[in-house]
Amino acid sequence: MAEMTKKEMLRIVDENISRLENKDYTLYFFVLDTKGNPSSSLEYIYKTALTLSKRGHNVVMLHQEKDFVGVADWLGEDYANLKHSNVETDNIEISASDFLFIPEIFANVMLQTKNLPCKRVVIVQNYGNITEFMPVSQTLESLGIIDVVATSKKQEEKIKEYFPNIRTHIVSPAVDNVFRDSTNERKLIINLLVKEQSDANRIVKPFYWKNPLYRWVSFRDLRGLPKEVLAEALRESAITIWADDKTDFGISLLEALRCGGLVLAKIPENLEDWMIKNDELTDSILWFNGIDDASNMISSVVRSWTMDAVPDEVYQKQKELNDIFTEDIQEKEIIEVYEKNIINKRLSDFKETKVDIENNVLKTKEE
Amino acid sequence: MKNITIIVPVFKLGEGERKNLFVKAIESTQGNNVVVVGSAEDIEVVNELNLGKNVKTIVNTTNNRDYQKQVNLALEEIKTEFFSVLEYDDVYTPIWFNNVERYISSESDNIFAYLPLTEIVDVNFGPIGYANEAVWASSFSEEIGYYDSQSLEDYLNFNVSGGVFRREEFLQLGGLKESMKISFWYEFLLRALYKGKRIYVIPKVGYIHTVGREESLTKMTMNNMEEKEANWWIDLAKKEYFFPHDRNKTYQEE
Repeated sequence: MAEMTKKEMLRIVDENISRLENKDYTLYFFVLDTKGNPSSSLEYIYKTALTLSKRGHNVVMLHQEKDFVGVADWLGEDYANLKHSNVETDNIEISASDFLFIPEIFANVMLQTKNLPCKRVVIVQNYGNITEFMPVSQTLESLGIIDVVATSKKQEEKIKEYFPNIRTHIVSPAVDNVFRDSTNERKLIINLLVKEQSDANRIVKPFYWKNPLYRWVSFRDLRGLPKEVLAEALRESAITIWADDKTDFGISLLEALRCGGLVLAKIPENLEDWMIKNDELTDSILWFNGIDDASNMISSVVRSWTMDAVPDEVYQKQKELNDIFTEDIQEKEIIEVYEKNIINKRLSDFKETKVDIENNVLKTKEE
Repeated sequence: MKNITIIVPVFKLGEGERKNLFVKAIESTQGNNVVVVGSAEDIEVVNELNLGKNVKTIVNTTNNRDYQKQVNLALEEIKTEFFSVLEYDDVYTPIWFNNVERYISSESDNIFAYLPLTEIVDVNFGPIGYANEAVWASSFSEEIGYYDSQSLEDYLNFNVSGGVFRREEFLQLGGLKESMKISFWYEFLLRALYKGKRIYVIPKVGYIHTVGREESLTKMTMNNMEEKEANWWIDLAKKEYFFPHDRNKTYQEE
């Protein structure tokens, strides 16, 4: 880059300071189009964006799809009405006072945007995606990325392990307020929160084969339901089974718990921090080891539930998890991380730069 | 449970094990209002048992001792909003009436009858299966948890005993038809559904029904009836439910 005069540099720095002080900047969130299919990781990004938008920040969702479907059908109009731009076709001007947030799955975007003047931050919800998509020849540092927002301490630890010079922040996912308990009596329907059809088959078929007396018990697969419908289904049913080894965080398990029914969960391969209490699995959840253990457990629970023999303590224990990962907590974390640690830090960086220029610490072209 | 009367029709209570079974049945009513209906001899047996202030009796002075006749006699006397019928050799489970109260206060739509998930046991109380359970199978009826006319057309494994009914609506529908033999409950359910009543099965084991007992009224009736006649009564129920009142049909051998 050609050297600028001190005056030119000060003008540019002052412009950026002014923009940052006056909220005249844009927060760009790069998103994947899931073509109308619900995705908890995409919901997390949209929630962050909407929270910041409501707090007066200019927010733009970036995508690269010609036939972008969006999230209206499953997240609702509030989210769909956030401004969207297509990076391929729309003219997007990004300045140094802007911010670009890139999900960890987009290693290619991290590379392509390396020379943009804006502040770039990677959002990590599943560190496994970093190892899967980022070439071994690259590191976050080599791509010019300094800040990472992770969803949990566990994600943060892994990022620190891989890229020790990265600055990390934590913003937890939140259970949406639509997931709440109900005073209505419940229906004997067993909800299935599983990722794959094969998992559903491994639960349902053996249950019927091993328990012919319970051939009348109905299962309901909740995959792909819009959020409101999902919440209603969780609220009206007596029992929900959760099995998702590849979970990023287990937010759907928390959503099920928040709806007050009895929740049985398969111990996932990757345990999240909130699933552990005093170095052991939390006793707030009725865990089972393997997917093949589900059928026996379900028959016992159905029997107990139909006879009102499930101890109240089980429900009380479940309720102990109601106070974690609320929308209020998440909003506070977003303010702390995005506004204070990222945006305000950017502002103070510019101010420090200004001082450095004024004090001739930074080299400029002779006037 | 407030506002409920439990009707217990009895028959030849002094014979065999009946009295002991009857006492167990009454014990399962958990202090709710009970009306026992039977002949003068049977009521004398009941009175000797000193079952408590909540247990009233009605003497059936007619010659008709059929179950449905005795239920109708009791319904003429009671005034509570709800009623339930208990077979003298069955029992309610301890959780049943609590659940009925909870579901009544929880359901916003007007439900006419709350039936229990009934556990069927043999004379040694060994579990055999369930009744009313099929409504909780996803493909059984139009709306899960509810009976509908179509689902009942081919399904006879229902159990009405132990169910909680709204008394006034029951009477407005015409009550049980006394001329219908074994299929009087079946005809009544079809009639209620035909009139748009909602019949819900609370998915809780609320009633334990014993089958195969020699002294049971059902068993005695079936012992005196050929399969051909039993089927005839079932088929008749499918035709008679269109009519609100008893047309006094008698068995016509083909």
